[in-house]
Amino acid sequence: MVSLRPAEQIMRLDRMGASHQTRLSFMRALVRRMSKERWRFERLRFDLDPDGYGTSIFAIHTPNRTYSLIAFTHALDPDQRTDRVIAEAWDATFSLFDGVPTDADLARLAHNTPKQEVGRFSSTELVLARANKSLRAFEHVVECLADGRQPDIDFLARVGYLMRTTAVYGSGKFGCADRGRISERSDTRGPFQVEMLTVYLIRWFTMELVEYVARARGGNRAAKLDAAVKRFLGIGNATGLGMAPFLVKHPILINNWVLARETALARVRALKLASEEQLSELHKLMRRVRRHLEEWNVDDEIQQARTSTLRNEMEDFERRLSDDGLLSEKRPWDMLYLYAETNYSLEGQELAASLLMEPHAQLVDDLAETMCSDRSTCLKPSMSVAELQASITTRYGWALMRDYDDPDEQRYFWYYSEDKLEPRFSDRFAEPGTEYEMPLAFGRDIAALDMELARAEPSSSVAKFLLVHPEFRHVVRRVQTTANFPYSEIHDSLIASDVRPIDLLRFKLAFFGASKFDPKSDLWTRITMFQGAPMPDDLGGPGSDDWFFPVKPEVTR
Amino acid sequence: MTTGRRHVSMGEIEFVVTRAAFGVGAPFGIAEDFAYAVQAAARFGIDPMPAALACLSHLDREPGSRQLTVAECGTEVILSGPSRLSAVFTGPSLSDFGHLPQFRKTVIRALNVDHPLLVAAALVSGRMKNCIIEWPDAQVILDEQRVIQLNFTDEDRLQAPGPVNLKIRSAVPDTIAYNDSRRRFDAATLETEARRIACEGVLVDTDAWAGLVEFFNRCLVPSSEQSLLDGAGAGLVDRD
Repeated sequence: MVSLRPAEQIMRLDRMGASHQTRLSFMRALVRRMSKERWRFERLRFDLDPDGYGTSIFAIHTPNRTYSLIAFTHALDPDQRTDRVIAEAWDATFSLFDGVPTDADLARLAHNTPKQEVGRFSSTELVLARANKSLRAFEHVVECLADGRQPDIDFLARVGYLMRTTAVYGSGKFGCADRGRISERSDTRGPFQVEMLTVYLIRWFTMELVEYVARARGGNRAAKLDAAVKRFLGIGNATGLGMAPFLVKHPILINNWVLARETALARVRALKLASEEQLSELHKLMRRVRRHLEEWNVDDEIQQARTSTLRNEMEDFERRLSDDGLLSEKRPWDMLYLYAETNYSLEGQELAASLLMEPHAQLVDDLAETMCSDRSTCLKPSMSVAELQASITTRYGWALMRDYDDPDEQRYFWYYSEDKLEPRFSDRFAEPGTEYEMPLAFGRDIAALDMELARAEPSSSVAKFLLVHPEFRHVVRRVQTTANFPYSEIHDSLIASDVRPIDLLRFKLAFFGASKFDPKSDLWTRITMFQGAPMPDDLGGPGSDDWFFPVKPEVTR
Repeated sequence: MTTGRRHVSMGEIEFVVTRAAFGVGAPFGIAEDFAYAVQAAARFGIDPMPAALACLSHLDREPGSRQLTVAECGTEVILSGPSRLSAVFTGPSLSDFGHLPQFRKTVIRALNVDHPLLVAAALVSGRMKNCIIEWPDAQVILDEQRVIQLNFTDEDRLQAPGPVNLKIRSAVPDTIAYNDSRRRFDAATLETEARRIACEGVLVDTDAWAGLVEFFNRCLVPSSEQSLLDGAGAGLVDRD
């Protein structure tokens, strides 16, 4: 047996901010399911003018039901093109519909979907999303295809996508269906599966759109986009502060994500032998990963330095894989992992962990089924004050050791702005509104609870304590809910002066399966989703699950 | 007063009602429980938004309604306060006390409660069982198998605001009488209803919902020049 890595090692912001995709990432799980169950894709409607503006419906038929992506494309003034939540117009807006929409549904959504947060939706809509074009990339592809040529792959590789989603809302937002509508369906019960499906369909739609506009412009001369280029192009995404509250608000779900990943890694590390076949697969993968890292170039200086270190570490890792003695080692994968843990940066350690899982589908993939949770929070009023305090002492040492009287320990606060509820993160000593702080500072609040419990009668009940101190109710609930879930808490303050919210985003996005993290500040990042994933007509083929760290294809123009 | 009805999702109820209660001064954990209670009432097939709005309006007008004191008199525990008790605070506290082992031998009374149905809903969402909640002309029974029965002389009385005195007593399953049943939900029925709501949403009073959203809006922080820069994506107009 190999132990799981402990929470105090794993659930730290700096390591979370170095996360990478794995076989268990939600996009990978979705593509595997689509391939295995042979989901069918159908373009039901594509009513566009020559510039590509209009209404489209792209359907996907699973063995159990049909979902439809309804897309509205619009002309957009370039000055309005922003990734921010407070944007009011987009190049394209989308609803994922449960079933096939009627004309009445379509008329209703034509009125609402383009308005996004200001529109109103019904429980037949599962997801609401929008996207903006990467104008230069989109135009470049249109121009080349219209002229009968393939686009410049080097140019496209620097962007990675033709359209970028700027919000993908599910789970009951703005009147859309609650998660309960889909949580028991086999094809959508995994975490974020309808959201990932929406993004996958948007990617397909984007490829159809760019070819359509090129054809409208170039007529018979127009070329189709090379299949390898299509597969290489992902869909972009801009992600900001909204992800942080989600991670804190769903501790059991987050526990289940991390537990699955850590269990997968421990299973691989526990193997006593490495087969030639797995080793060969890993060698092949290493070459691709190293090329991918060469192609991962961003403006952010911190990420660029980290990627540069990572390139060196992966060069070293490849050498270790080629070590003749590796196959004769007892627990060779464990030895490799421990080597990475001792010698590499956090990015290197986490990438090594992802890599080691990759050739072990049979050991890993079943764990994807354990990554959801519909368990709610709990409060145990009959617990004694002494028991509650003991639980805090045992599990929250990381929170109790901080000095919250030091202004830097609680420099920031998280809140919803009146501007379209945009989540923001400001200096609490400079900006007003701290009384409406989002309850994300559990470390600080648990330390305050601990101090108050110390003044209470130890044998008294939590019920009596909360009658006098209702302000601690959500904190007590937190401590009691997370008691049996070791990976449910982030072992760092989320309000201290050294917090980088981007670490939280990276963690969640890695679980989604994102790649090419491109931080734009400490508050938001761009990423690429489904880059390298098979297009609908490639699903089920031999390489359907082989798109870990994709690289740009060779294309003749 | 009522101009119409609209569908909202359970997710919206949780998000909006929690922050509406927070907006009128309830601590966050109490506000969460209030939202859970409102969701529970919706699963009874009742539109809880008018009562929720009235309850929060009362708390907003009379902040003293949050003050609860407990007195133990023999086999009775009595919750009271300087003014009418807010269901926002009374529900979670009653639920907490009902979970204590000694509850099996005591009767809990809450005096001058503003919205008894929302207190009963809080006990449901707090997973109380084997108890009877009573107030004039209405009774809610929660049994071992989490069967929920609402008895009332007429539906208006069930949802009518207080002030009323409310009594909760423990009841072992054998002693629960299901006569005069007006609305009974067993676990399977509640499950079906929960699934229906998940699929269709909850139909609520438009005005009451709008009122709750107004309280919710109090939690939003006004935008400043600096805070605009503290949002993700600040400072970038995309021309890529």
